[in-house]
Amino acid sequence: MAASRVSGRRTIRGEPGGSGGTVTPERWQQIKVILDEALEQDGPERAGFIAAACQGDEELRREVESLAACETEIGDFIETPVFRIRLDEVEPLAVGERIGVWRIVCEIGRGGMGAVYLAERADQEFEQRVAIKVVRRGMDTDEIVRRFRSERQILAHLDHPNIAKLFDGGTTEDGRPYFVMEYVEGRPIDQFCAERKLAVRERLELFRQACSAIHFAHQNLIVHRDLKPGNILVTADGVPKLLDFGIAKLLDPTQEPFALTRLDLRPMTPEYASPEQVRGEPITTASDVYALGVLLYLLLTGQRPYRPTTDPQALVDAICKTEPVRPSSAIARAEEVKEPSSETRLLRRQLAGDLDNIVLMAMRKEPQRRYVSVDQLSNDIERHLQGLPVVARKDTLAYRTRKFVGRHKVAVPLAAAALLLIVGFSITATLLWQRAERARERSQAVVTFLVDLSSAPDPKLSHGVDITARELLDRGVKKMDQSFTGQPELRADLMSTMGTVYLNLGSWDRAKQLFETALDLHRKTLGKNDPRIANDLHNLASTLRYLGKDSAAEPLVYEALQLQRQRGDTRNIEYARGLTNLAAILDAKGDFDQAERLYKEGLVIKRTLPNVDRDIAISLNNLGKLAQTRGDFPTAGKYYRESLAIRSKLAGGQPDPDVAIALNNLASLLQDQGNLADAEIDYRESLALRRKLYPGPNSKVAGSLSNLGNLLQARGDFAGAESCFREALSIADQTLPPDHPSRGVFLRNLASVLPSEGKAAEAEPLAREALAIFRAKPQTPWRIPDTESVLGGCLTALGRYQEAEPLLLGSYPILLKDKGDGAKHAAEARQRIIDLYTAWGKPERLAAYRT
Amino acid sequence: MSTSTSDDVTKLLHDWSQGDTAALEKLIPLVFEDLRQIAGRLFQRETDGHTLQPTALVSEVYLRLMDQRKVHWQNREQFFGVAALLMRRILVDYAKGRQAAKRGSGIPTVQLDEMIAVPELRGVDVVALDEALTRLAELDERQGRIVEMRFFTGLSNEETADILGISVTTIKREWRTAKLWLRRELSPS
Repeated sequence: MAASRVSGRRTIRGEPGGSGGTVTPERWQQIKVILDEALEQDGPERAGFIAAACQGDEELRREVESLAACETEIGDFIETPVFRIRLDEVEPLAVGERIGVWRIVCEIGRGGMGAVYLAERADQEFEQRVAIKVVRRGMDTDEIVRRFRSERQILAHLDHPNIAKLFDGGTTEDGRPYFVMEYVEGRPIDQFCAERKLAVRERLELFRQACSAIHFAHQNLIVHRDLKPGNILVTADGVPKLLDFGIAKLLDPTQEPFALTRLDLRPMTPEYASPEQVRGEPITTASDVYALGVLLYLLLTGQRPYRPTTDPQALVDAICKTEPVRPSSAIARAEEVKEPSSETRLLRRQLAGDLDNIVLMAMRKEPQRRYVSVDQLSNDIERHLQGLPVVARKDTLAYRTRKFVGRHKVAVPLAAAALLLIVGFSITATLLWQRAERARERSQAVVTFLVDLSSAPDPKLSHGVDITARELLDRGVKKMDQSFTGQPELRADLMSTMGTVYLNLGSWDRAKQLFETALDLHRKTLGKNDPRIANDLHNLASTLRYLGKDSAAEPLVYEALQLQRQRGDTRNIEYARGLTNLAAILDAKGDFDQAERLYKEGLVIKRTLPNVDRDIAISLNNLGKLAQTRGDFPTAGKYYRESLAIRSKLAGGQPDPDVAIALNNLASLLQDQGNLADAEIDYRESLALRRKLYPGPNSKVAGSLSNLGNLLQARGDFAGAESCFREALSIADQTLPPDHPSRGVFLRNLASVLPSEGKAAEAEPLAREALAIFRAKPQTPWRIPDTESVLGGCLTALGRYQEAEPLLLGSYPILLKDKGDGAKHAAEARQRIIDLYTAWGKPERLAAYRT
Repeated sequence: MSTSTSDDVTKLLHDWSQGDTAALEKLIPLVFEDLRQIAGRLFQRETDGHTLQPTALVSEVYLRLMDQRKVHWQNREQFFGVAALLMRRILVDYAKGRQAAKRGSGIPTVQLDEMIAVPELRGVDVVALDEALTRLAELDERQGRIVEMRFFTGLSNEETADILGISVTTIKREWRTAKLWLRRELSPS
């Protein structure tokens, strides 16, 4: 601070250490003139010039000399301004100035990089008023011009009744780009609603019209990014028009996606900014969904979702962390302490429930948990208006804490959600799939979401879908059949997606049909090399495996893997999954060496990929199972425990189907190791998890029951075992085709325990049925001798020793030699032989089977 | 940003443009409040952890100012005068606040959040420059304005000449002598 340089009013101290005289304004003018001329002189001439110019005024000379001397140290002193103003920003085009055929009437707006003028035709050909947006003078840097052109290009794409139209474009005389748009004379949507005192229904309908414009933009791969009332004007006729794509983004893979440059640092409207926007994260169509949620909140309640604050940090916190007050409650809040009026009470009733949920779903913090598309949001409002159930519901977390929810209450909206997702997806999918890799990722996200939804660990969710969604999905398929006949590729994409949904729902026949059709269509419409063909093959193969058709699945997996190898497309999860799938097929066939190699190859690839922990856990699990089968229990334990750890972490304390599998497998290992007590604990935990996850008849619950039953049988708890097996069988009867191998296993198990309880007569037909199933589908060959042995046991108990003997003697050596799980059952088979000869009274034949 | 602040700013700018000098004194704190809010918001957007660049900050204020286009300026000179003066006041008051904070003394001034990077102005002591510039304006008001426009709003010689309605040559001359005078004033004695 220059505290010492205090100067008197209108005077100033001279040269430091100089005469101490003062400088007046008049004196300064004198100094300036001489100084200025002196600076034109160099070296010795300068001193002479100054002396002459000062005409003996020593004080003046010293003053000029000292100032001139500063020239050596001046450098770039204050040459770099602290801030560079843009002259043209404040120098609008003059009224009456012409641009093309247009004459400027007045300035009507000003954006980040250009000004907008109202103009009319200069040639008087006909009367027309337009809005002209021109890049600011001096702002026409490459970046600005590029962005400006991008906006023009965006508008050119958007021919929609609710979007201000682009008429024309060009370059001004001084070389700045401009474009001519439809001039919208209207009121911001919130003010329009307030001024016309629109009813809730009218507001919703107006909002839906606005949504149609934004959805249209999204279909054209355009995200608006700055939705707010000021950018949605409603004309006097009540038509909303979307404006200002100034910071809109064209989703273009050739551009750095969503990179915010300094130029984006123009004032935005934080009230409408989504959490990802304020955090500077990628902005997608979901950000527009959020902004629409805020807008709807405002239109319905007349208030913003967060309390006004002057503290930006508080606002950011509110946006990112605070749950907004439900719209229906916000209305009450606005009434303050007064008794709410009847109007308010009515409005609150109108908003409570559906509309609250719709607004809050659009405004969820996590983009992926909002409505998938603006269209979906709009449709949900339409459903509300029609009195139909809506997709939106209270937040899932809140849902989960609820003890009990009526089945159909959940099932219906959920099924609707699945359907809407598909239908919404269908519309955007074409464009997305065809036009941008970025978009592909997004559609992939939709698919993932769909798939996750249908395999959701939330029991209420999956149950709901299980029960009621199929009908709706079926309708969706039909609708798709009718709607996309001319677009086989899109149809195939959708069928593939729907197939995944059915697969997760366990509707394997439907999934199979869809995958087959998708594969067929894809083969016809795409080149051989398209990755979608390989995916269809993989999906169909997985489905066939669920259907117990490993032999049909195997060549498909080979083909898919072959296709991927040809494309060099082997460093991805689909390929790794294919390897795992093939390994599982070989594993089941008893080709353990090959299976192990493929499991490991798949695992190696998976370990290099991000976010595939779930898949890694599958590989580990299968490797564990394989080691267990081979009797390498320590290795099996190692794999199982890593798999369980990964799955538990992924589950985050929620009931999880994969954790249930891991527990089950660990239990089976413990059982093999002879630790029956611990095995029982893990089996029961696994069963309990699955009962929570799948409240209805479910094959996984049945599997757990069967395993627990086996253990109880081994521990001598025959009644407990019987009850487990009966329940498992009953579930299989409801959920599986009669000839499904799993049903065969449950039949066989029940048949094996019943004789111990004196119910051999009941057991015999069960064992025979199981045997018939296994003989018809011999994927697991050891099941046949094993079941023959069980049947032999039944016959022994019934005293039909001669019938029992060939079955028991024939099966035992086969089991003994089996390289897989069959060997585990050899001991039981031998025991049955001992039982036979003991009961039959032929101890001499017994000797060979005693150890 | 509450709308009332924005409206107040508009009104005060208007009043000031109509010759109410007291309006400026009321205006400065409001603009500061704006500035502080914008700074906070901008800071949020800086995801890579770098400190905020003063130019971005000042740009924001400037754009806010530009939003006040409803104000009917008597002439463009007046408008640029306001812009330059505001920039100057913002930076100087901020620098004073920093210096006060450093010394622990309590100069009553609007405090900005410390997270805003200090405009160092390339080694120039903003406060001393401000004081010297004030003295220069007392000697030659037009010359002071030229410096203000060139340094605080970055207008070129040509633009300044255009706005002030004088020749480019004059601007260049005035700029050159003003710089020498200011340089000497800021030299350690």
